[in-house]
Amino acid sequence: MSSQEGRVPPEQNPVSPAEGRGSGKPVEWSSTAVISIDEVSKWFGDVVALSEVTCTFASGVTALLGANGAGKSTLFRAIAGLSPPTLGAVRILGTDPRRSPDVFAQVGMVPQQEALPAGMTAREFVRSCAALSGVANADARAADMLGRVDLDPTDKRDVSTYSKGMTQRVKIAQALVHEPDVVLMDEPLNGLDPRQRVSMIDLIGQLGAEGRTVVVSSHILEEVARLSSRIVVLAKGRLAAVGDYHEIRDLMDDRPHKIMIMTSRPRELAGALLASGAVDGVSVVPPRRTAMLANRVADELPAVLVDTVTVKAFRTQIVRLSRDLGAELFEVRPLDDSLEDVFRYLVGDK
Amino acid sequence: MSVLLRWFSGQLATRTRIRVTIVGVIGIAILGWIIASAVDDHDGGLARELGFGLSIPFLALVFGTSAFGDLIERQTLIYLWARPISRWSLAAAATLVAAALASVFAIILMIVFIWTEDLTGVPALLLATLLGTAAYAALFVALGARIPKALVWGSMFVLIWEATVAPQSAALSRLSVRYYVLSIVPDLNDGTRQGVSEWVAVAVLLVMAVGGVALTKWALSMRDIP
Repeated sequence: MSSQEGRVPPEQNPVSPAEGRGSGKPVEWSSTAVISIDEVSKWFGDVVALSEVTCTFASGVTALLGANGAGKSTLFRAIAGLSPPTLGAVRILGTDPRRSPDVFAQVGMVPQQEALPAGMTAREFVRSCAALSGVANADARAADMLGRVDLDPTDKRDVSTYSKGMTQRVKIAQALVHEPDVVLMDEPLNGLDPRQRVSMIDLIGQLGAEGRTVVVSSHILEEVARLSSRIVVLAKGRLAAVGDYHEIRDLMDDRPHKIMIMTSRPRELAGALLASGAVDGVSVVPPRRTAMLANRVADELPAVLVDTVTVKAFRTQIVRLSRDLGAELFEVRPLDDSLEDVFRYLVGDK
Repeated sequence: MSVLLRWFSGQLATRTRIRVTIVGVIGIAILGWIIASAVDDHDGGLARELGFGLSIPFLALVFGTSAFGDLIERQTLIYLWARPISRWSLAAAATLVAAALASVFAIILMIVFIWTEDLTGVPALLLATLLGTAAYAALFVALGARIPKALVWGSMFVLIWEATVAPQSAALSRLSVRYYVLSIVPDLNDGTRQGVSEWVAVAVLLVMAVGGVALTKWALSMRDIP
């Protein structure tokens, strides 16, 4: 897809841990924010689905995460203009999507529901979507887009008879057929087989690299981690965190980082680390446990397991101490800075 | 607009709905023919009761409530909603298609009644059929966009209000669609009530049709899109 005016290169992306209300710092509205969520609350009767959520999304891929019932779908629907917030405001490219449908010329949406209109072929459906979005050569674009998601544009079957995976790809094709600047995807990888998932993750990454603003809602954290390191996390209807999950993990000074060190002199290094004050806790674990922690079949050496809240100081010390001791460092592996760990810490699941 | 019209046509003119409607229309035509055969004095009762009183509102009901009702129920309205289309255009296109499809069957039935009862004033009868179908369809499209089970509520509206309550008094009847439809063809009035002039009736029915579109636009802007 060709890049279009108004897109912001991903490196200028303003989303950072400081932007969300969850960080405890005041929000500063960025001029490059493509989607702005301002104090959005949503009630369903007595149930508060979203409570004063404020954050922004800029170009690149951002994952919207949350456990079931966290308000993820409600926020997604509010962003897409499908459900108006009870309080607060949503803006896409400075426009309220609920009041100004024109903004959808620059927005593509992959909804969660599987249903597609009956009585059309995939090509007719995607062509209609393109024409409704004002695409001039709608039929050619539809055929091209279907090809990009590995579907046959000449297929004469009714699109409502498609399998789950094919339906998912048609939904993605209709969302991208008009080359939108903003792409909203609710569980886009559902129903796809492993090969198609890899292909779709590549496509989403490409959209982000082109400077489009892509918001992906997903509950499969392993896949989200491959899509993007930028996350917006909701917990119990409130914003838990916004930003790069590695940075978020570094900011969690109430949760010591667990780091495993493979070295030629584990006991000596463990003692030196403890004496240096760069760690909060240290232990030497036997080879069998080391293999399990490192997710390997077997290990021959014991490992040093460290808890530390001062990762930067630890990194400095580990190099100096191992050099002083003449210990070889084979591996220094963080054990709890994956997206899954960060998410678990944020939503309070111990 | 043409893409929108095709979209709604495709969703409304499903094989099942068209087949069921054809069967219904044939059934009513046969019933009309049987009644006409049994009665010597043809005073336009078939056109008035079976045509304007029953067939037109129900044909408009079937297509009108489905225009958005089906899209909402099947959760496919989102594909129209998330496009740069004004809500006015959505409402107008749905109403136009629903009214057009209902009108085709309504006019066929009306021609059958005209022929069976040997009625005069054919242009007025056809104009009343078209405008009545449009007014009913516009109201039922709005109903389908606003509430679930619109077919049931719409049926109750036709049977209880239009056919039973409203005709009970001159004041109430002025609040029914049927009153203005019959005002266009004064020969069909059964003598128990006087209608308004033809031009007023035409104007009121057009206002109802446009009002229905406005109601649909409002209903869409108020609701959550599934």
